[in-house]
Amino acid sequence: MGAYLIRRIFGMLLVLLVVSFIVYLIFIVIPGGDPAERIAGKVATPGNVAAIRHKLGLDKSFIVQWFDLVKALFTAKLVSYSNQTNVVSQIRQGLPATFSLAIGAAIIWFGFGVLVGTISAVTAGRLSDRAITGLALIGISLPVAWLGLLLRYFLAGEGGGVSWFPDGQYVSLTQNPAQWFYHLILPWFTLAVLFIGFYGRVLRSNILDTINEDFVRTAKAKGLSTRRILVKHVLRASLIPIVTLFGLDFASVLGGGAIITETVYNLHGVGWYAAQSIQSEDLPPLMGVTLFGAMFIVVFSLLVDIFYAYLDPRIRLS
Amino acid sequence: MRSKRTSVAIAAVVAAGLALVVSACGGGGSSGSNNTTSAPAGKTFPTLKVVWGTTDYFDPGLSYRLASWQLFQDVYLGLVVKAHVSCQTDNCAKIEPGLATTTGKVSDGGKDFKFTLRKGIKYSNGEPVKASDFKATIIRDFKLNSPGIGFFSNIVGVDACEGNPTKCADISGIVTDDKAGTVEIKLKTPESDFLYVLSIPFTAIVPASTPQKDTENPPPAANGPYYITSYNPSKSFVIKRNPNWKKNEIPAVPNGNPDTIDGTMTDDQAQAAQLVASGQDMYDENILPVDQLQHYKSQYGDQIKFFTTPSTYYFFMNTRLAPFDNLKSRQAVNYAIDRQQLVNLRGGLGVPTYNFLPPSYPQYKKITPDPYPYDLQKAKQLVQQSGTAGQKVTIYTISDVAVDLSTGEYLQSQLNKIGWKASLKPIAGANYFTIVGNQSTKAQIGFTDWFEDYPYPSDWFNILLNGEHITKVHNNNYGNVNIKSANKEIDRLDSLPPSQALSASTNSAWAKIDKQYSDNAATAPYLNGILTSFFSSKMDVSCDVFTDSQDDLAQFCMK
Amino acid sequence: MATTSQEEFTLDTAAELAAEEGGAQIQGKSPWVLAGRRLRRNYVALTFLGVFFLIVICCLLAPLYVSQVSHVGQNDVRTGATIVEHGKKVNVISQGGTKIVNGVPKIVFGGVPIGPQWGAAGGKYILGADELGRDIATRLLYGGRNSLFIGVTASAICTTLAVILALLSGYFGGIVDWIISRFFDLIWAFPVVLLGIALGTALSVNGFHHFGINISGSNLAIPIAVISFVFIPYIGRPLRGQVLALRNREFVEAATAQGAGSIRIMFSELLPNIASSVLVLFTLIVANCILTEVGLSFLGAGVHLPNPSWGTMIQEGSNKLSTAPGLSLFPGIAIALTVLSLNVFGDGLRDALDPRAKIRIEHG
Repeated sequence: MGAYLIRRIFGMLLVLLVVSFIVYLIFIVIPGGDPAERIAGKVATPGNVAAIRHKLGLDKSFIVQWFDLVKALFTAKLVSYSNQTNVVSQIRQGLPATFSLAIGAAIIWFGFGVLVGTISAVTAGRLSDRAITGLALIGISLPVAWLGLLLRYFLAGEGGGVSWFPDGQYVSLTQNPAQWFYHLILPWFTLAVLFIGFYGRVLRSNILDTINEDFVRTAKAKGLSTRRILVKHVLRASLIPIVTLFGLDFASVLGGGAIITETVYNLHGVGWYAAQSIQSEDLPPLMGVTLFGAMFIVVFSLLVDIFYAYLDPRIRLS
Repeated sequence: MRSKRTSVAIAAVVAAGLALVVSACGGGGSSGSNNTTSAPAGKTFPTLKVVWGTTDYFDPGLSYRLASWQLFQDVYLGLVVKAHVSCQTDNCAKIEPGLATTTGKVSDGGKDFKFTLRKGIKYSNGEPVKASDFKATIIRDFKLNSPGIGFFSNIVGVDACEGNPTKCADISGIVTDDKAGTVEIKLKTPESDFLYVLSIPFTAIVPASTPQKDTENPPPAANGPYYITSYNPSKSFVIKRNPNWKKNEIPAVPNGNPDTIDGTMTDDQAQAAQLVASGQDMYDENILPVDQLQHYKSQYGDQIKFFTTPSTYYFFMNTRLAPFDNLKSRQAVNYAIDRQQLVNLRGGLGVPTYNFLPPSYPQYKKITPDPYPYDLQKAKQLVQQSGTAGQKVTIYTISDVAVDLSTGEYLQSQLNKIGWKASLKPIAGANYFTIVGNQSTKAQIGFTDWFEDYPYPSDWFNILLNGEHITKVHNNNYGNVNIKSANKEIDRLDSLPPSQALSASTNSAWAKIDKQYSDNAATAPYLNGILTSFFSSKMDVSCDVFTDSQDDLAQFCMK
Repeated sequence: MATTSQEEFTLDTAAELAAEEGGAQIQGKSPWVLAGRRLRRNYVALTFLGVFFLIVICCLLAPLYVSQVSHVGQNDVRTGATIVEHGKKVNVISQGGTKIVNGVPKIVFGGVPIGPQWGAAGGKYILGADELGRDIATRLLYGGRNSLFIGVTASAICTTLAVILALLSGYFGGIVDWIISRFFDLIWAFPVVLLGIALGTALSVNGFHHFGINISGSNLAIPIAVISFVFIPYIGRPLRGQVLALRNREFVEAATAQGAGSIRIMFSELLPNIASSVLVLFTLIVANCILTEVGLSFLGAGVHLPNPSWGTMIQEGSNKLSTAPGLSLFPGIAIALTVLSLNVFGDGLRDALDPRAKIRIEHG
């Protein structure tokens, strides 16, 4: 187990390194133009531009630039083009909102996804299955932005409907737990809908596949009750692929991937920070958030792999 | 200043002899012991929760936006201040003593200003306010490459700093004596609008120990009744009472009713208004969503105030680039816009205009008959005659303010109708004016606006349209307008002795310049703006005082 | 190849058919025919396919709509216009303004666009107007053109690239497989929307000016390229798995023994066997691409104003929900319907091609 772990961690570090290089490519090389002028933006005079170019090392070779970029990011010195704020500290400030959104939504979508998928599979072919499948299909077809706006319109008093819920904004947990919860209900639901539909369907087909496997038939032949079979054997086997998916999705949302939800509900999280930067064509925050998000996914990938390896010795030894 | 972010104004300031509506000429001005604030005493309350638009900076040396300046009027004070009185019922541009005991002793024909600091005033960090802090503040502005350094170009000894701002070390024309508490400023030429310069945040005195870089976390220590404890750009801010402010130590500045001001920032006008309507916040600095005005008026009519403002919204046209280097093209643009419709895009919150100066000025003379009544056919003809038909035109506008964006789209549609190939380039408000004010952007035409820094035409023509004040970066004359005869006339009018600055003949001379720029179609002005303030039901709206820096939060009171 | 008969079949496999025919010569039906038969019986899937095509056709007919029905173009700003509603003249946008009387502003509010007219104005503004007097229905159709064009093109490009990479990876194995797999992993490591906006923004700053290609920031090619890039692993990985499984089968060995070159084996032997997966994945990825385009455009990193796309329209209407909800509502309905149709049809297609299919899109 130890050797496997070490191999995988090494692989992960390698991936992170390459990810940082890709981020560098995307943000420094692709836009072309003169980053120094962009940075000088607010105080651009010819003298300033040259000074900035030198300070940022933009007159050095691109390998050196890449190293400097990574160093700047990790030593928290990356600074926004448009308002001189420190990118890393801004990301840190966005963490509470993003984490609150991610964890709450994840609990909901995992719980309901499993519930819905199981019911659907167990009652396969009957009305409840059809209804659930139909709803699930609709759920995954809704654009998140639109769903969020609809909920705000109908349920949060944004002009048309009732005011059962507050209209976005994030209240800190330490400040007011009740309000924190209340303000997050609609965003949690919005984010979860898409995943519930998807997970439900995947779980359903996994279960239906597993039910036909030999070991289930054996268990049945042995006389185990359907319920026991379902929970102990089938569900467990079917859940494994779901856990992979969940690991990656959860990582994605934790890392600020729920950009649209955060924007629609004005939750000042990491994703929201990224969206703000689009409008100002402000690259350093986008760089920071992208690297941040990628980091989460890579780390969680590793965790999921370790989980698998723990469950299935064959993987470790391969 | 701009309603939104403005670019650096490195324009040379008005030269000589302007009389102000308020003047400090002759021996000492008023020592102002009259209490010029309207807030009744004893109406304090613990917390004022407000919704605010996003802004550029919270550093008084750098910010050039209404949103910041409205807060600074109770936080960062200069030697003199503008009176905290209502512009509707009073003279809100009146200069009163601030940190100084008087509004200055002027001598040497208007070239020398002497001030004595009040004793015992401390910053929020406990440091005492020293005379030398004033010089340090001005030097700091240069080091920051502040948008305001253009206002200092008439000070003796400033040339080295102007040439190389970030290496600014000393300005010989500012002489301070910490023991005596005196500040003396020597100017190159007479300039009686200089007192206005000393009343804006760029000259608000901050401790000499303030770092000479953008300081926002937290912002610099304050000498006013309040200080800013925290600022999260585009997210939130908290302002608390300055523990070292002694009651009534500066009569012209109110002590303040709220103990704490808790600000949330958003540019989503609908959401901001909703926060106040639901009672979660008590005041909305943003304009109301223009498509819901009727709804808000009928539901919350008494909680909303509408204000006319000395502002003009216009399209700039770059006279150095095709097709706008051609007079006929610029006239075509003026004919192609229906100003009433542009007002309508703002929900009706505006008054159409063809003039550059706002109608509240004594120098304003409405141009009659209407020089460019809406006429698409005529516009098309002019485009044909100019020989520029079919050319590509890129329109610049602000992307994150809905009305500005619609305005840009409107212009695009109209320009396409009259024969050009127009496309739109929306840019985020935070960077907009910097980008447009950079010559290398080569912006042909775009949206812009101007709100007075002080009520005199030189603030308009000299900074925005004088051909001698075109710069490479942080240019304010986006159109690179350069009419030699107009340049000369502006300079002449600026050098008139104070007694003639507001005479009938001077006023009509300014009005003639206004008309001259209109004949030349130098820009395409289209409306003077109207803004809104929205209060929650908990607030007593009658306490509201709309000063020259907008609603004074310190004077708010609850029911 | 058996001829199709008009009889109603209830059995699927060739063997069962043969047994039914009681010993007559077994005529194998190709899997495609069988699939087609199964699909044909799936009325739900076919209905939704029809819905999808209906939407596509409507959008393609946008110019016709403008000339015959609405008479208002996609970017046709009509702020001062009037229409005749039930015989009465009505302003498209309510007119207001301010008069200063003794220093006090007297304001009449305006700027509110009319709502959906449905039939009342003779075809104009069927779904209402936006704040610039543009016809929402017209923009909906033109927006659909852009969104659908981007979605379909991006998926086509993505699928093509993914197929090629999967074939190369699965067939050659070894170092090639390792490189391509790591390539998939790298793209996979970024959250989809983040990567999309990162690329979208970086490219829109200055456009793309490298290697002699010059594309401006507002060219549709940019969102297409971005979206197709982001989904490559989604198709590439499952296909690679399949190719790996097929690689060691006898027919490949046979082809090699016959002296077939790598290219021939990949495209003539392996490709047809993964074709059904490709088809299903393609259909499902079109849905994802459309949703991604909507998301990117909503955030401002996709289609650039003022060209309409369903995503930008939702964004434009997002702060006018109380007075003109239709601005955001109608594009959303259109998107939901389109994507739902694709998903239902995709499901039906998968069921038809392999009733016990294990093909599904992993998403991350």
